[in-house]
Amino acid sequence: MSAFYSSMLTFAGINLIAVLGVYLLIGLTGLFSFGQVGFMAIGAYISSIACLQWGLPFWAGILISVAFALIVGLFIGAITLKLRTDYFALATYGFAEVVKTALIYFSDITGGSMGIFGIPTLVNLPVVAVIAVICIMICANFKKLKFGRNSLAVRNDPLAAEIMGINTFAHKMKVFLLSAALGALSGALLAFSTSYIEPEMFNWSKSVELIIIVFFGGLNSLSGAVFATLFLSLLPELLRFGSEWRMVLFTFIIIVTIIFKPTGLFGYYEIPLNPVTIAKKIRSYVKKIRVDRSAKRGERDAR
Amino acid sequence: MNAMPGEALLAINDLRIQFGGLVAVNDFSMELREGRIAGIIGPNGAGKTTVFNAVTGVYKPTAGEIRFQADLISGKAPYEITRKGIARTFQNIRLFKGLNVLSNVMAAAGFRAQYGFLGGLLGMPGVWRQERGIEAEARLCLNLVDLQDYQYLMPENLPYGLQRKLEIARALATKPRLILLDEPAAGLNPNEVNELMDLIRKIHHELGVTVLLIEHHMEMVMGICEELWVLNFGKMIAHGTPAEIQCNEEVLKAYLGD
Repeated sequence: MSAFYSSMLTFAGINLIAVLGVYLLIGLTGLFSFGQVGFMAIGAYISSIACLQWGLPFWAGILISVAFALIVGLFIGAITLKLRTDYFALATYGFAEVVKTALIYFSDITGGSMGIFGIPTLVNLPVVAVIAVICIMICANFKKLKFGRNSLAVRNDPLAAEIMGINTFAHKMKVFLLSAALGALSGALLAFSTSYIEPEMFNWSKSVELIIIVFFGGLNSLSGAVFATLFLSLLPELLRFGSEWRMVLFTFIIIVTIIFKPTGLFGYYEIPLNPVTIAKKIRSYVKKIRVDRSAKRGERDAR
Repeated sequence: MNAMPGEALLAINDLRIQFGGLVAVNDFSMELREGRIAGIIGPNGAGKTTVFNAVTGVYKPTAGEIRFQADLISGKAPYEITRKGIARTFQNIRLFKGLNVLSNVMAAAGFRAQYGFLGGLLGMPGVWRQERGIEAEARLCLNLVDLQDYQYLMPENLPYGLQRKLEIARALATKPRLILLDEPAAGLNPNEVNELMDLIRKIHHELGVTVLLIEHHMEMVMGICEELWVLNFGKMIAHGTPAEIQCNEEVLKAYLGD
């Protein structure tokens, strides 16, 4: 594989990890947060600083950055998760902006708006792929178990959810923290694959990009989120023939999809990964073909 | 399931709920013994649903206290009260859209699953077994209300009468000792009302669940309740057996005017 495609896929995989966090938070639980990019920035900066300034190995840096994001997430979640949806969106947007401003302000540690150079590129495609698959499995478990049901219940009717014995605040906190951890992990991997980070990489538009991907794939479908990330991360490159029109084309494709399929590309559909389920689906499909064929034969004979 | 004589399952003492200047419930007291089917009736806006909301923790009482099995529950969060054994249905059906019929019921049984957040996410052994246990319990609840054939449908695609039954199944999945039914017969046809009465008796007999219901459907109230409280403008105006209530003058006045 050429270096170009390999780096494209690495970047898509890193994006995917952040998207998974947004999918759980906004897609399943309905907590409209603009803060994901803040956690990505925390992940990128803390892990780089731990590696370059404290001399820790990069994996320790990544773990520390995730732990730090969890602590920040606990604090931010405690003060914002009781807010109504629109206020929650504003508060998390504010959080991400504060993080960005802090990165510029504390320039002797963070390098200010110049950013941090010379981070060792230790993360390549196989590493990202393995981590991304593990994250997908974690999210799949989340969705299949009571956490997924709790999320949908909280999203659709928080009062009824509470009356059905669900501690809605605690549940929202869990999702928020998981999403923060995924964001930080994604940010840290980004730092160790691009070798250079600056505050401008963690603009609010990055959060919007992640949110668009989730809506495009479908709020209720994990498969949709995964597919949409890979598709939309690679699409701008596939549209290269259109040169300056490619971003217009890219946006156009997204708008058309949302208009004609408001529940997203996948809706509620999940790609089955369980071998038993797949075997069952294939069997029922073969059966259907046979039935169709014999019905056709019957028609012909009748004629 | 025979309650000790004199010991109340649910005891409300001088409950007062005020929204600004409006007194929705005014010094209401009641004692519900275990193993009863009882009802709260009254004209529209009398404060019946507000009483339910106070019992389930949706509203905090302005004054007064509510005890369940002698434990003080007023002021506790709704999910804590549910976990203690009080379940309820809603007047305007509030099923979870986006979850199918079976998952709706499983969502209400979920708090009894023992696995933790990390263990669940990592798919630790035992998680899936517990999950199947929850599923089996949910299926039992669906069987009880006769919805087993609709497990994989979305609740919004069910006819109204079946949605009401699904709400009851979901409430039962929390394994309550007391179930509060808020106008379960609203919008049902006479046939469905009869079915509902049978279902409530079945819940009462087979599961030993105490039932407290709010209802406007007088035939049903008089048919299944053993004890009634009548509310008007937030105040209790009568308490007794259905037969006593039927000839109570205050009640007739409240319903028919002077």
